[in-house]
Amino acid sequence: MASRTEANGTDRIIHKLDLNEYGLQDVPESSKQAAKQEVADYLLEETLRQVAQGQSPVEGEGRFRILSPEYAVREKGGRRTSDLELEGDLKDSLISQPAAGSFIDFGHIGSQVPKADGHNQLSTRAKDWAKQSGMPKRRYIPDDGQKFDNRIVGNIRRILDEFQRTAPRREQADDIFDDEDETIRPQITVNNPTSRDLFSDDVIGELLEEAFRRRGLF
Amino acid sequence: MPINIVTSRQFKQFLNPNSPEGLLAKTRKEFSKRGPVKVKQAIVQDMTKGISPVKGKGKWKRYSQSYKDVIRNKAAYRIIKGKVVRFGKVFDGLTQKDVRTIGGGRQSRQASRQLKTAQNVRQQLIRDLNQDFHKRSSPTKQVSPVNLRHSGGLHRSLQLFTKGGVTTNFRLVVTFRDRLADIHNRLGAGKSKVIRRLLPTNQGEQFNRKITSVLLNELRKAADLVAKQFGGQ
Repeated sequence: MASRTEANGTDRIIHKLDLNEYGLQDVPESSKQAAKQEVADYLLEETLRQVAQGQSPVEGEGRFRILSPEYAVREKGGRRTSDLELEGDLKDSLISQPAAGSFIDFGHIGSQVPKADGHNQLSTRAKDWAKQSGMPKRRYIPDDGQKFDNRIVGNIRRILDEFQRTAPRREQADDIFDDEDETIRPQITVNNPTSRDLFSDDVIGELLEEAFRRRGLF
Repeated sequence: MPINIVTSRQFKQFLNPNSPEGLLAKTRKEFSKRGPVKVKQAIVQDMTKGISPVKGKGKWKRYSQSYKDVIRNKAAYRIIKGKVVRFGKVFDGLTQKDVRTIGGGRQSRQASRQLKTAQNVRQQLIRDLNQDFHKRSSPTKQVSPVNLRHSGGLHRSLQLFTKGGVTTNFRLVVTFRDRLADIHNRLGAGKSKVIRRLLPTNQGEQFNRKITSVLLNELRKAADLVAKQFGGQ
């Protein structure tokens, strides 16, 4: 099933992202849940980053229209970038979580849906209202037939690619912090390192090997 | 200058991990020059947008209404656990002098008689102090996103530096010198003890994907530079 958007304009506005479109089917079964969670976390963080800069994460939507000077002075300390944030209610209610099957749910459920729909203009009611009121569209949730921008899509593919190539890690309480016992040292890979692994001989060695090969040094 | 190496195993031996002049050590040294600065920028950028640097924590929880008033310079005083609290300072109790400095006049003298018994005196004091404070200020600051940047002290206290030998125990230290960081990260801020994670200090945690990719990218650049220097020999 392909990605789709469910928007009723009252209590639900959810984009169901089908990760099979980006390679989830090739991820080992035991790693799929972790892969979906990683993609969901990334999607939320990246959307918040882009919206904070007044940029839509949806392909083809571009930058949000800037705020009027009066509104900017009154509410935003003069800053005219439209970051969809006044008190924080809207962004606080944005969810991104693994759903059944190969899907991730991304959007809003509950009391903030009318506000979100006013910005995204996904439901028929919101579109009609926007035509009459002239409210600018500031879409951060893809509609049917739309997808996230190339950078986000590329990173989703990269995340799933990492999970395809990496065996599941054993997460134990002392795993990461025990320097003495080699037998429980977690598997290290340059494709999916933790912050602690990054300076190890293995990871830096692989980066050096990549660099040497790129330069044709061997 | 091509080297006669065919396999990854041979390359690992070539790297000479135990020597401070080996390529692994040189890569770590190169990383130390720019890497900490770039990673610090990435952390601050996420903080400024209200995004936790810790993986899986998403956006920070909103400020309370009373703190929003503080940011907007509409208030500087509030009651916490029965005590009058000024942002950054706690008054142990109300004195006659405190009451007289609010605004003077008949109301204040009446209030001073009921000083030790009336809860509403504290409430009135809060209102008067805030009104007085508001007269001298103008609301300009945003209350959202939550960026933990009221005076800028917390952000300025973020420090990153490398530590340890270049052959063993090399690490990047990320720390906040301001004690507020521990309050936000671990103890909880305000009356509701809201936790806003700043650093991945608990077991199993790590930085979010963006910051980890900046780290990895800087390491990759360092490795590339070392390879370039080797090729030029």
